[in-house]
Amino acid sequence: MASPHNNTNTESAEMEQIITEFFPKSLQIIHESRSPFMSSRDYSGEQMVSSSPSSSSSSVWPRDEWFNLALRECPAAHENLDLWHQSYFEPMIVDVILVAAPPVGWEPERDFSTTEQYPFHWNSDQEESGSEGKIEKIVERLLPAYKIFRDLNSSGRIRSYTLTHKVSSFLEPFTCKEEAEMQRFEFTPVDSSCGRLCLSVLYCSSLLFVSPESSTRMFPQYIDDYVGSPLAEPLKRFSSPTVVQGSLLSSPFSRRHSWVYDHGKSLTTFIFFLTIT
Amino acid sequence: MNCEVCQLKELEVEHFEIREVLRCILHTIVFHRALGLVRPKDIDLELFNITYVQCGDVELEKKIEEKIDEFISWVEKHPNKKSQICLSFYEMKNKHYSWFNKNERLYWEQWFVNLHVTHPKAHSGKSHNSKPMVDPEETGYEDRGVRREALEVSLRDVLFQIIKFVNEKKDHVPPINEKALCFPCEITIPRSVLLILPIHVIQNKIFIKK
Repeated sequence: MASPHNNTNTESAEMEQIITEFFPKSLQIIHESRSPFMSSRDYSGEQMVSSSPSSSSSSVWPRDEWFNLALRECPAAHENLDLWHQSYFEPMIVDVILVAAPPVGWEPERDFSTTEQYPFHWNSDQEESGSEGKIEKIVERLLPAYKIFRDLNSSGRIRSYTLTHKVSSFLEPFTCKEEAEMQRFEFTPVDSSCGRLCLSVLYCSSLLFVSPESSTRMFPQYIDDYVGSPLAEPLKRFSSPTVVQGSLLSSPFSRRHSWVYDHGKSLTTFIFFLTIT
Repeated sequence: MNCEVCQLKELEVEHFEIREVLRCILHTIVFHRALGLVRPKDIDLELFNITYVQCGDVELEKKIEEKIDEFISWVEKHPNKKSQICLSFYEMKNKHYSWFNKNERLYWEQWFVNLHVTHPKAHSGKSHNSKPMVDPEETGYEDRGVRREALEVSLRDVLFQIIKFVNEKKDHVPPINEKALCFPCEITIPRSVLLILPIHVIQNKIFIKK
C-alpha cells in the first residue's frame, strides 16, 4: 500500500514535470504563429500518430503532445531554456520583434522594440493547462502581428522586414509613449499547490506603420491604390513621367500602410510569470 | 449545475458570407471544448482577414457543415430575418422515475449566434442628374467594402467575446470523460411552423375541410 509520503513525492514530481513542460509548450505556440518558416500551420500530425505511445502516462508523453495540444516538434522552443529548467519561478518574457530583414549572424537586441509580451500560467491538471494553451493559440491569431506573420509565410516575395523573437527572464519596461500604443490581454491565472501561474500579452493594437508591400513597390508608376485620385482612372494615360512624379510629390506621403523606420518595432511581448502566493 | 449562456454579438451578414462566418464562430467554440489530444488546424477565411482554429475532428466538422447547410436552407425560405443558432453542450444523466429510467440531457453551456441576414441594396443606376458625378457601381463597390470591413471587425469582436467567456467561466464545465473526443453538443437552427389548412370559400364564407 502506497504511503501518503510516496504519493506526495509522486505528485510533486509530476507537477514539476508539468511546469517544466509548460514553458517550452507555450513558447512553441508562440513560435508557430510568430516565427516565419517555422510554423506548424496545417500540421496534421500524421507522422506522430504512428509513433505515439499507447500509454498516456506523463513519463512517455511525446513532447509535442503535452497538454493535449499536438504541435509540430519545435527544437527552437526548447533551446536556451536552462534557466527555467533550473528554476521555474523565474519569469519568462518573450518579445516578438518586427525588424528590417537582418544580415546573416545578426542577433536581436532590445533596441528593436517588442510588440508583444507574454506571461504564463500552468496548473497541475493538464487539461486545464491545455485550455490555457488553446486560448493562447486563438488569441495569437487575432492579434495584429499575425497578419505580418501570414504575409511573410504565404508570399514568396522578398520582404524588407521580418519577425523575430527574444526570450529573457527580465522585463524591460516600455516608454510611456510605447505603452500608450499597446493593449493588454490577461489570461485567467491558474492556481496550484506550487503557486500561481500568470500569463498576459501586451501588444501593439494597430500596425499602421507596417507596409504589406515590399519596398520595390515604392516606385510611383506602381502606385495604383490612390483612392479618389484622377490618376487612378484606368483609361487615362500619363502624358509624361514628370507629371506623374509631380502629382505624387504634391501630396503628402501618408499612405495608410506606409512605413518608414530605422529600427525594429516591437509587436507583442509575452510575459510568463510564476509567482508564489 | 448552472447552465452558462453566452449571447454573441449580432452580425449583419449577406447570404454568401453565412458559411464562412458560421464556420469561424462554431469551430472556435468547439475548439475550446474539444477533449483529449487535439491536432489543431489553422483555417484562413477567404472573405475576411481572419484565421481561426479547428480541432481537426472530421466527424465534428461534418456535423457543423450539415447544420450550416440546414441553416442556409432555412434562410433562403425566410429572407431578411434575424435568426439565432444555438450551440449547446450537455451531459447525459440517467433519471430514475418510479417505474422507468430515462436518459436526459442536462445543458451546462449554451452559445447563441445571432445573425441578421440581409440582401444587398440594388443599384438601379438611375440618377436625377443627366451626368452622374460618380459611377453608382463604384459607389456600391465602396459601400460593400466598408460594410465588409465593419463585418470583419465585428467578427473579431465575436471571437474575442468567445475567448473572454471561456477564459473567465470555467467552474461550470463538468468532469471530463477521458474516452470522449469532445463534450457532447448539439446545434439547433431556427424552425418555422407552416400550418396549411385546406379551405374553400362558399358564398363569401370560409370553411375548413376536415
